[in-house]
Amino acid sequence: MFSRLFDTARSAASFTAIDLALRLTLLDLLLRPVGNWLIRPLVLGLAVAGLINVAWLRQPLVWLVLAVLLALRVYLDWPLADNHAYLLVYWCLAVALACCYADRQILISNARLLIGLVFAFACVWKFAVSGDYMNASFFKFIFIVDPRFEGFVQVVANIDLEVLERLREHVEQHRDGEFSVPDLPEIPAALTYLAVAATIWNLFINAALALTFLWPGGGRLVAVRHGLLLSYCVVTYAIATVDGFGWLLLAMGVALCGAEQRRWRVAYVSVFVLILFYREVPWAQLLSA
Amino acid sequence: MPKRFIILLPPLLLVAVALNQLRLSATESLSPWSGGGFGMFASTDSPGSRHLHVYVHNAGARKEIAFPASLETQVLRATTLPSRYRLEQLARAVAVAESGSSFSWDEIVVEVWANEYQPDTLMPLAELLREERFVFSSF
Repeated sequence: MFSRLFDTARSAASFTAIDLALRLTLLDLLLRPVGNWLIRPLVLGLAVAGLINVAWLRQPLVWLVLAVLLALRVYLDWPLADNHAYLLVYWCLAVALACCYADRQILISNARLLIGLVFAFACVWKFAVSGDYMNASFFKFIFIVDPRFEGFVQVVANIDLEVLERLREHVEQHRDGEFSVPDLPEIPAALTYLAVAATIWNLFINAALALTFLWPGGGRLVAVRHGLLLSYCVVTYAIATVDGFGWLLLAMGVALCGAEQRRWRVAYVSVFVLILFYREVPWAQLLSA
Repeated sequence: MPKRFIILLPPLLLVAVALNQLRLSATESLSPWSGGGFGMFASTDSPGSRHLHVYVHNAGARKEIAFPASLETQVLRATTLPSRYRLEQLARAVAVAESGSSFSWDEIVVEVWANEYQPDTLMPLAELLREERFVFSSF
């Protein structure tokens, strides 16, 4: 059934883009395994089967089973699963539908809408609901308490580990409603500037991604979408090592590449590999050392 | 079901789940980081920055309960989404664990706290998100 999808595709290059999107999705599942002891082997098994066997890669039932397994994982983990888990379910369901109806346009529409909606809801939280994002408190907080940002903060804001640890100790205390003013460590100005810059960049890129992906139409907008999504992944996942989410966004983005967009496909694959590099090589820690 | 609807099922599901997450966040204090609403990295109110306390009460005294490791996931779930149902499940588990305790008690109180941070100093200020009291006649 899926072969008809590719028969109707405009060219072999379109075939490659869809095929590539499916393979990158399966690689994401392999590189960042999900689920408990029961779900994980099944998901890994299907991912391996799809990667080594083209017939399985294009089999709607494989993707439907993956969607069900991943949805089961979200249900069993409720409410602890992260956003990546939900997006995987929607995306595997979209692939299953595209395969079932043998229509690559279904995958393209779903990829564009899902990416746009992810960033639209992120904007709702950041611009409107969260009380501590717009004033840069969030980034000051996360740069101090999250050890994944430690190397980056040391390199970019030039802050000693000792200072960072003292700030972390201060921020991580909890007082159960009792307020007292102990010896407050001063937050370095460089850290504040870095938090403000991170806030502005994230507000801009999230809003730009939401608008460009949800706005219908193509033309020049297509290149803007690819450029923004790739920029987002290159910058964000160098600092926040949430690689599974980054790989999934790239898999969805590459599905949008048309027949003539070979360079964009190469760029998506390159950034996919770059995120793997970010994960395996602690570049910020190495520089700070 | 029309094809036009079916092929848009994934984005429709995303919107439904994300709107439900916003609702649960407003009504049941669900952490912005959880629930599929794409509020991760948008707020300091992550599950890890919340804390939960359980006390057993009698007429004149109260004792805080230290959680056994077996309740770790249940505590994390209750901290992330402190609905009355989840807190009651946790209180029931504590009641079972404390049924043989030398401290006689007639009520279990569960409190979930979140921290707010002053923008300039990041001085943490704890805010009581939810407090529930449970009396279990069977224990």
